[in-house]
Amino acid sequence: MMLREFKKGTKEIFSKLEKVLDEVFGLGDEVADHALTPAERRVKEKQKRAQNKFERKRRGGKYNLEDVDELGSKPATKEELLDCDKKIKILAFKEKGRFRLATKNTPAYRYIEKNNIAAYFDAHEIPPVIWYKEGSSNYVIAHEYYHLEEFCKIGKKAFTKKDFGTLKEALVNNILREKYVAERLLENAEILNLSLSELKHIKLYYQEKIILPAVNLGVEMIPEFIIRFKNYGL
Amino acid sequence: MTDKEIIEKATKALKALDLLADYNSIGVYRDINPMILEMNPDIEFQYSVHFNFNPPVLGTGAAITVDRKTNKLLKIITKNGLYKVPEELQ
Repeated sequence: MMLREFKKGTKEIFSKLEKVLDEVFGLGDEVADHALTPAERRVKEKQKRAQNKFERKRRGGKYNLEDVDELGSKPATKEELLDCDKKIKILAFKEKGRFRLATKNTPAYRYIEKNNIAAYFDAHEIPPVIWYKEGSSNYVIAHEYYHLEEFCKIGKKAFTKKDFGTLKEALVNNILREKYVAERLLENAEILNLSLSELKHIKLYYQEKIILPAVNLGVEMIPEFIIRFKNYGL
Repeated sequence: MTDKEIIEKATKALKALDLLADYNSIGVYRDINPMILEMNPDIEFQYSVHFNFNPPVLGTGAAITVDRKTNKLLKIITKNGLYKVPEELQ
């Protein structure tokens, strides 16, 4: 056997010899892994990935998002998610609306990861779906829920109108869609138990992320777009 | 500070915070519509940098508020988050 290996080349022989010695003396990662069960190995790999991620962040001088995130929302509990699922089934009974977790094998997961978002409402899908990432907060889910609510009220054609017109039309429709959500969130702030920073986010998101760029891109600012945040104590 | 410098600084901040920074439509908006100002008088002393996709993509984009006097980056607003910019990146 050794002669056969000699023919292949000396490099391979040495690597194989090294493996044999490692097995005899119990050295090296590979040898240690053989002794683990598949489940143990998976856990070890997971820990290694987490460690690598942590190291990468430390080396790159990057920041921990939790330290700079002012929302600080807690992830929704299982009961809350089940409750939301029930609510959606009742609300969008006609439209057969769904509430789905974006798991790794779904295209929604890739979309969420690529665009760095926590949840989104897909009105184009039949039936319409609210996709959410594991660990999404109640606030994020409530935002998408109200999009679905409006979808059920005005219908698919009106709701997805923004995706087929000119840029200005798209921006106007986007403002109207987000205005509805912002108002509904503010109305139900107490029921949803929203924190002050979440309420602040509703205001800033609507004003600075939705309205400001639209106006700067040529959309005429009309009184219809105004939300009286003062009325909600903001 | 020029628009280019502000955009560079804002992009750096987004990247450092592990947020998406590769957008194809970026604008610095220094003018404020009086109606928006009436809605929120606090924004009088700030302007914003907007990162978006063109054509628009659902739920994406970021708005960064900048102090008008000092040109310091104040906050990053995305659909699901509100981040304060660490001092070293301001």
